[in-house]
Amino acid sequence: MSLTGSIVRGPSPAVADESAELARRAQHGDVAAFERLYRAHAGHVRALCIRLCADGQRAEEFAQDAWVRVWERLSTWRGEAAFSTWLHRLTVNVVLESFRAERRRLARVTLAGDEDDADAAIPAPEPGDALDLERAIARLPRGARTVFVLHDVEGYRHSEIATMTGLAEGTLRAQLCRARRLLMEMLDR
Amino acid sequence: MMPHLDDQTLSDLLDDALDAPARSTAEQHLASCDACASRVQRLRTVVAQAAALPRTMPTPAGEWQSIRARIGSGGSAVLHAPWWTRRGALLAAGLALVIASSGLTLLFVSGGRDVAMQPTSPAVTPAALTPRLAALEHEYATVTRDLERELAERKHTLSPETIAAVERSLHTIETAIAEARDALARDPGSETLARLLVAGHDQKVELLRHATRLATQS
Repeated sequence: MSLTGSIVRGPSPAVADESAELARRAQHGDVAAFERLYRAHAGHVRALCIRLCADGQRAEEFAQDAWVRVWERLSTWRGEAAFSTWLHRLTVNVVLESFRAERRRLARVTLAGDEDDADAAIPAPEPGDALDLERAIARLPRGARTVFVLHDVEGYRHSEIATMTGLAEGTLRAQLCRARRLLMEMLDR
Repeated sequence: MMPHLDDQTLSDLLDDALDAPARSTAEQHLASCDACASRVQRLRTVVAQAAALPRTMPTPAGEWQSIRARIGSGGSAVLHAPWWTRRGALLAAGLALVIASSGLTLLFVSGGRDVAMQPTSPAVTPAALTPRLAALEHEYATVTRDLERELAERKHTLSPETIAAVERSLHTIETAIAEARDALARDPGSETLARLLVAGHDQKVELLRHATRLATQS
């Protein structure tokens, strides 16, 4: 048995049923139903985006992109998974795709230069700078933050995160350990 | 006295990711080591706090209005799709990719690569270039695998002509990628070849992305 649990936390059955019905109506072009879906789930999409990217402005862009993609791809949701599960997975993909594209651009620029990555931009906490958990998560290096948010906040399993991120399970376990260690250190200050 | 448990072991212990012997050894150590027991408890606290974070956050004012504007008036998203995602445009784009990729191939054959693409960064040693390229190729492999899987699921929505055009373009791009990779194996320090390889991957990702978007909207 896992001591931390690893089940993605979802909405209540009643909310899930209502979302499924709204999603089916939205599949037929019902924008009012789509707006109700948005109202029901936008807060979680926002939280997911902001925790993954640690940037309010970008989180806003990611959330909008995710909802537009939901609209475009609603026809592919067949009700096998809960709508919220499908929505959150799609949102994670939107953010991770952007991260991958950014890494590719960065890699092209730095192909012959010094090793650098988005993690390097994360400022180190000042000595004595006590942080709450949200702020501490935002200060994690991107790779560690992504795995931590998906595993410890959202409840995805290692195997699911490996599929989403393309990381080997050993690598993501190392990232998760790094995130927890850094958070522990930041919160202990 | 057994040495202290490292953080990876403690983290894996929390996730039940240790095999039975390793778990047993770790638990025995924890029972007799206050320092490690304290550390695992602090890790457990972090994990518990993370799981208890609020599921939602307030959304920015006007977000729905922005989304509403982007999805249009409620009709098919195809009506509002960028021009390059439409069926006819894909055929043209595919043709352009064939030409572009053939051009890349020609560069290798003619040996004109150093004239055609000047590196913009200082030269590097093969030892420095190879691992970066390997990591980059791994990234591309992840992206293209996801896109190919998605496209395969929806391929039936595309016309046979579109599928054939996409497949021809993909074949040409993959040939160019393979040739660039082979050339790099012979000349591992060439940044020009590395950039050609990356350009090939870029083209493949873009083509797959456009084809997938088309299939989704068909």
